[in-house]
Formats: sequence, C-alpha cells, structure tokens
Amino acid sequence: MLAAAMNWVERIAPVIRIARGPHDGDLRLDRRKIFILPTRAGLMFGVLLIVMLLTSVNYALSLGYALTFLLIGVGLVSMLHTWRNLLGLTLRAGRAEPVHAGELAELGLTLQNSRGRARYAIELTVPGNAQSTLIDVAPGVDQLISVALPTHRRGWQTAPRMRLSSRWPLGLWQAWAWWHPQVRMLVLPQLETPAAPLPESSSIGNEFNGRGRGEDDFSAIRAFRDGDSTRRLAWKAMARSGRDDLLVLEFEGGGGGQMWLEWSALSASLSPEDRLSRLARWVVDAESAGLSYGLRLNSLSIDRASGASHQAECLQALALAQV
Amino acid sequence: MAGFRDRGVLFSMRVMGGTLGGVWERDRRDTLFLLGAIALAIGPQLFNLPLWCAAGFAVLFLWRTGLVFSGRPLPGKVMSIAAAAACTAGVLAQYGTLFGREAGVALLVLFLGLKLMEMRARRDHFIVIFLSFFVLVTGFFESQSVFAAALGLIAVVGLLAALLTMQFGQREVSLRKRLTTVGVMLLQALPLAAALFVLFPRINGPLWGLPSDAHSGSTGMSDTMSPGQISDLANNDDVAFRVQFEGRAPAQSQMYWRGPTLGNFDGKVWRAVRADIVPRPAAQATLPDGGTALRYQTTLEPHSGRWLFALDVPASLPSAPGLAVAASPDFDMLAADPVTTRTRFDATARLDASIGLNETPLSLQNWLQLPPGHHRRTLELAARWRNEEADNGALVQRTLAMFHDADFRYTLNPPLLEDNPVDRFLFETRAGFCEHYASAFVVLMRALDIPARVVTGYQGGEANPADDYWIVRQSDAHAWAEVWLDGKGWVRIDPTSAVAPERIEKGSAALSRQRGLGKDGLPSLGDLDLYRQLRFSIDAFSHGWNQWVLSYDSSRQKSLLGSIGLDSTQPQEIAAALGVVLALAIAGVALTTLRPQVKRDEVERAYDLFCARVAAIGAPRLLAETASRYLERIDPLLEPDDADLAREIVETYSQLRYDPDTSSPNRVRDLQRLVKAFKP
Repeated sequence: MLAAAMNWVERIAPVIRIARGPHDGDLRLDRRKIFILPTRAGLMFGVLLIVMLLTSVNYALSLGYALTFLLIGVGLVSMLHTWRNLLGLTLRAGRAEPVHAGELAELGLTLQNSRGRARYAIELTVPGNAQSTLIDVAPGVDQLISVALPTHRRGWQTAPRMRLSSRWPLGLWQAWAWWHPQVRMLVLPQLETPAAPLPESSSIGNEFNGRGRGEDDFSAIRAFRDGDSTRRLAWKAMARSGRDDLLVLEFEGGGGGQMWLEWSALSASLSPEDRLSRLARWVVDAESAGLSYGLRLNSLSIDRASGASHQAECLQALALAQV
Repeated sequence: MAGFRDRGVLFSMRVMGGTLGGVWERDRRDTLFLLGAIALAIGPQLFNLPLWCAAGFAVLFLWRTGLVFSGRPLPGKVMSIAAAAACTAGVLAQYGTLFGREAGVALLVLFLGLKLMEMRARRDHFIVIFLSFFVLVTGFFESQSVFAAALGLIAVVGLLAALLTMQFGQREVSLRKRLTTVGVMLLQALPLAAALFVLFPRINGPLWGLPSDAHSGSTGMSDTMSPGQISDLANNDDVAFRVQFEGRAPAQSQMYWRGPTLGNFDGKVWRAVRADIVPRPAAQATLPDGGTALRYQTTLEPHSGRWLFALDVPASLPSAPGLAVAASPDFDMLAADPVTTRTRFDATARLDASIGLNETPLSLQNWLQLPPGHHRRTLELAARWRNEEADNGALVQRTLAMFHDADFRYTLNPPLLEDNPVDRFLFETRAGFCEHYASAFVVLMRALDIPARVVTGYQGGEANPADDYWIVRQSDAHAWAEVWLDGKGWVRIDPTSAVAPERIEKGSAALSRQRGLGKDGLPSLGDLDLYRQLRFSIDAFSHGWNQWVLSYDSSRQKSLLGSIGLDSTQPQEIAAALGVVLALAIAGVALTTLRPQVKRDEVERAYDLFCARVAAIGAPRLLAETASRYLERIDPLLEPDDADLAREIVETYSQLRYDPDTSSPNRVRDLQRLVKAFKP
C-alpha cells in the first residue's frame, strides 16, 4: 500500500521533477528532488494520536491534550528533520573496475556532506539488490562507499537508478530521492570454466610449452619497461647487479613463447559467446604464464605483447566485440 | 561479576553511553535501552493498578530484561497465548468487565508486558513504544499534578530517545547525542504544542458515555450525614477548593461554606428533604440583598456531587461561563450536573443577611420532622424546658449554654454510638465531633418545636501567604445547624463553637497544631514551620497550574480567545487562527533547521581564496586541476616573490590535505596567514 502511495506521489508531485534519464556530474539533492511520506509506523503513530486526543476530550484530561499536542508537534518536526537529513547532500559517482560477467561490480560513490551536521542512516537501495546499505556521513565529509552491482552480460553496463532514502530520526517519515548517475562500467566476457588448454596449433610461433625454460633461452637482459610481465623479472641478474633497477629477461628473437589467439581458429560448434569466453580465459592464462600474445578477432587485431595494459586492451576488445 | 567477565561480557554501562555489553550486538543494547524507557513510562502507573496486575507486569518486564542479559530466545507462541488468556481472565475476575476505564488500563498494561515477550521485529518495537505513550495518557486519569506532568515528560524523552535509537545505522551514537537530538525536537515542537493547546477547540462533556468508574476515587461531602462520616475527613488533607476574595477576607470564624442541607432524620442518618418524601410546598429561596456584599472566586476540585459550596449567606448564584446553577429552597447552590471537573466560578456573599423570612407555617413543617420512637430522654428534656421557657431564642441559648457548661468534649475519636445515638450522646458519652453536636442540637430544637436543620459543608480555611488565596481542605469539613426564629428567618447556630470555640476561630488545622499531636498521639509534621511554608509554596504553584493548565476548558478558552478578539464559537475563525499559528510555527522551525549550512573547512576556504586571487590575474583554476599542476601552470605568470609564496601555499595545502600527521591548528593558521599575504 505504501509502495503504491509512493508511486502515486512521484507521479503527481508537481514541484518535484524526477530527472528522466541518467544524470551527468554531481547531483545535489535540493528540495525539488526529495519526496516525503509517512511510513507505516508513522501512520500507526497518527492513529495513536487520534486515540489519545479522543481520550483526552472524553475524560477532559488537560495533560492528555498537552501530551497529544506535544507528540503532534514532535511528529511534524521530525518530518523536517527527516527531509533535512537528505537535503543538500551532493552525490558523485566514481568508477568501477572492469569485472567478468556474473561477478559483482563495485561501483564507487561519493556522498558529500557540506553541512556542519552529521547525516545518519541514509539508505541506499539498488534495484535488484535485496540488501540496502545504511550510510552515515559525518559533517563536512566526503563519504566514499561502494555498491556491489550484479553483472550479467559483457559490454558496457550503465549504472542503475538508485534510491536514497532516510527515516531518521524517529522512523515516522520516509524521505527519498532518485539518483541515476551517468557512469558506465565495463563488463568483460565470462571466463570459460573449466579452462581449455592454451592453443598449441600453428599459431604458436615457437615451440614453447612452459617447460624447459632455462637461463640459456633468453637472449638478453634489459631494463624493465611498462607492460613487461613480472614473471620475467631476472631475479638473479638483479641480485648480481647490486642495483635497484628492475631487469627482465628478453627471449631470443622476441619469440620466447608467442602466440596468436584467434577467433577464427575456434571451432564453429561453439556459440559466439562461448568463443569469447574461451578467448578471454586464454588471454588471462597467457598473461599469467608470462607469454607474449596477440588477439585476432574478425576485423580487429591486437599485436602481440604482454603486460597488464595489454591484457586490459585485449579483454576490452573481447567485451565489446560485435559478433 | 566474575561470571559476566568469564563469558566475555564487559559489565559496565555501554547502554547509557558507557560500555555495558561492549561485545553485545547492537540489537541487545538497543532493546535494553528501550526497556529502560518503558520502565520510566510504565513504572509510575503501576501504583494505580491492583497489586497482582502490577506484579504481573513487573514479572514480565524482569523476565524480558533477563532474556536480554542471558541472550536466550523469547518464549514461544503457546506460552504467549496462555499468558494472554490468563491476563484477560484476571482482569475479568477483578473488574467484571474488560471495558471501562480501570479494567481497560489494567488490560493495556498487562498486554504491553506480554508484547515485550514477543518483541522481535522493528515493528514490535514501534508498537511497544506507542502503547507506552497511551499508558502515559491513562496515567493522567489518576493524577494531573505538576509531579505527574514532570514524570510524563521524562518518560516522553525516554520513549522518543528509544524511537531514535532504533533508527541509527551502524554508527554507535552516544546517549548524550541522542538525548540532545530528542531535546531539540521537543523544543521545536513546543510552540506547535502550545498553539494547539490554546487554540484547539475544547469540547465540554464526554464524547461517549463515561463508564461509571470515570470519576471514582474522589472524596468529599455526601448528601447524607451519619456519625463518623465527617470525622473520617478530618485527616484528609486533600484540597476541596481554593478561594480568592476581592478585597479583604472575612474573619475565619465567619467562613461557612454551605454544602448539602439536611432535614430528614431517621434516628441515625440525616438526609436531604426531598419533595417525594415530604410533599409539603417549600418556600422559594430569595437571595438577600441587605448587608455588605463580599465578592470572591472559587476554584472547586471535582467531587462528583452538585454542590458548589458557596460562602454563607449566598447573595448571588455562582456564575461561570457554561455553568448552570440553581438555588434549592434550602439555599444549596447546585450545578446542573455533577462537578466532575475542576470548576471556577464567581459568587457573592452577604455575611449578615437574613434568609427564609418568607417561610410559611406549612413550609416550616418540613423542618420539624422527627423519627417516631427514638430518643425518648431528649423528648422528655425538651418537654421540661418548654414548660419553663416560651421564647425560642432563649431556648436556643439555653441549649448552647448546656453544651458549654456541662462536661461536653470535642473529639475526633468519639465513642461508638450504636443505637439511639442522640440520647446516648446527650446524656451519656458527651464526647463527639461537629456532626454529633449538630445532629443532637437539631433533634433537641425540633423536640422543642423549633424548625431546625443540619447544614453540612466546610468551615474556615487556611490562608496561603505565598499567594493571596485561601485553601479549604477536606479536613475543614463541618456540620452546623440552622434554626428558624420568628422575625429573623433562618439563623445559623454552630453548636460546636460552644464546645470548642477554637475550632471555629482558627480552623481545624490550627486546632490539631495547637494540640501539638496528630491523631495517633505523635507529633505531626504540620508542626514544622518549614514544612508548612514548603507546603504553601507547592500549593500556590499547583493552584496556578490548575488555573492555567488543567482548568483550561471551553469556557476559559472562550474568554482567553475573546480577549484577543477571536470568537471561539466560530469554527472558521479558530481554524484560520490555528492554521496561521501552525504555519508560522512550522516555518519558524524550518528556518532554524533547514538553513543551508554549507560549511567548508578552513583549509579548503583558504585554498579557495588563493585560487580566487590567482584567478584575478587571469588564470582561474581548472576544474580537474590538482594544486601542484595548477602551481606549475601559474608559476611563470607570477612575480618571483609571489611565486615563492604560491609554492609555499601549495606545499602547506598539500600537506594539510594529504598528510594528516602534519596537520594541526597551527599549520592551518600558517596557511591562512600565507594566503592573506599573497597578493599577486
């Protein structure tokens, strides 16, 4: 019943305009963005006040009147307090680290309280999440929180419309506002489980199976560059050099375990999404095995390399692939 | 204590802002706090309940508190239903009904106790708190004193704090902070409550039929008089009414507050003369107009009778807005309805006026009735006196002289008179209280064929020096007589004054003080002057409380609103006034609470000022620019001195912002000083 009342109020409230579509940048909750209605307990409180008033009238209890009116006053004042608990709060959406589909994305949010007074028990509800989060924001503080959002499909996922509400201080009123920040999160393809072994087809440029890699196989030692795998750090050489610089092993001909991960090489019996899952798994595995790998999708090709940014580039390509 | 430690519970006072149950989960500490608030609200009410009810609630309450400490689960549903049935049956057995005021309150308190036992979800907490609020209202049935109001206010603070406690999130908020929040809300609610209290239309009379027990417990005069009835009141210090005289108060010995007039005697009990018993026409009461008029104002406590206790002799009908008064033929001033609320009225008295001059021989027959077959010796005495003396006035004097000269005693503890009380009193025991004297006197007068009647009411009073008014207590209850003498009408004769003149001249309180001993022979507290002064001050405060808070009813509302030009009979006017005042009050609260309080911290403000000064020379900070990047960009634009200063400012700012270890009030002041000096 209350939910229906809330919907109804949202539809008819003339001064309050809910922004349609996502909101870019900071959102400051001004008075035109906050709704307020009594809660179920608030309605119960109203009934109590009526009964108290009738009793006072019937038995001519002056103190009964006084108590009833005092509580009416407190009820009305608490409405202002509830409203004020949200009023002037500034909301800012941060970013979310890419996650694989099916995992929970952590979206960082900032609640900025520019007031000299704490805001208590602000409830953040994300549609689809059973649990809502209760947030306290100390005076003059930017409160960072993160909400866990379920992900289902790879690609860009926009942030959902979220609901901030407050029943503080007495639980008799509920003030609420909607927030739909314009941020998007990258959802990577699901990783195939169990993992298929890395391809050993002709696309592997060199005989390399992870074993037999000795110190003899590398061709040179050079300084660490961004993108180099930490697995290729030349620990012994570094220890010998006695300096703090990082050194890595460079394999002969740059082919110390190179491979191409190719869309077209995968069996057509797999569905496109499964193929992307397998490629994503291979990218992750190849990276952790310290290999140099490249990715070939239909029209897209990422040259062989290794390192965190290379992996991210490959995974993003897979996430956004049009297949 | 050791036991608590062993189980890892730190036994201290976390719940009161200390650390009781430091390792307890929030829920348990909140529940304990709620129980504390409920104890504040319900505890004082338990004294108004039958013992078993109070004990029942206490057991449930302590059980629930024990469960909080032990952490054991709440009892199951079967137990609750059985307990509810037992409570209902108990109330039914005690009161014979589940409805009505007293049964309702008992049931409410017991069910509140039961609800504690199934307080699981947040909704149950709300219900328990709301029920407690209602119990607070029912507590005002019993007492609306200042003390009751203060206790109620404390309980309201506790209950609201319990409501508030439930609403906090993960943060543990100190008790002081919670109480402050509640206090602020109560203060903000006060103007609203005051406006509603003054303006909300007061309705006279009940909305639905009051149960018969609505006004139980009020003591005072009754419409009969039998030996021992008034002396029962002698130790009752309850206030009967308070009086404020316009001008000088009369002498205490002149203050006879007229209550029920009794003329019908059955040998033991005096009753009012009723037309259906003695169907003789009565003389109409005509209010006197001779003598000096004395105007006064009485605030009468509720007493469930209709008498208004006007000062004898009443010269006008007591008047108050909305109060219908009639004078009975025997000069009782009667309200149309029982005085069930505190009532204030204006009245006039003429102390030396004559009444009853228009009585006829027939109407006087009403006042000569005697029960046949009783008090034989009294009749013999009367016959003897009548032979010796023809003048009625002389016979009255002779009777009083007998009370004074023979060995009659005035005592609060007279011997018990079983049968033929008048004869035994006059000829054997000769010890009694005012009612014995009045009764014997009137019987003797009637035996002498002189029309006579008993008047009950109050005599005297106590001046309150703290505020200029008189207090008349139940202990001032008195009975005297009136005889009808040819040419004089009804004349008040107080036979008690012939025996114990000090009772009349100084009042009952003075009498018991003079004796220095209370009824039981122990020195009474009333001897202590300090105690008396304190009692007077408290009574003065409570008188004001009654006048301005408790007696605020439709008539007072009408006159108060009338004095500011509002007609309380016009609903539109009242509604408009109420609306305006409420809107103003809410707007006032809104202005004080919703004022934008954008308060950037000092560091940020100083940096803003710095940016503003740089912006003034044409290089505003970009939105996403960090302090150091900004510095790099503006460095070439500044004079070398200014650039140094800017570097220092940015360095200080960065330290304050990102290196909390170095931030101190001094550092902040440094930054402010630097920015102040920075004038590119």
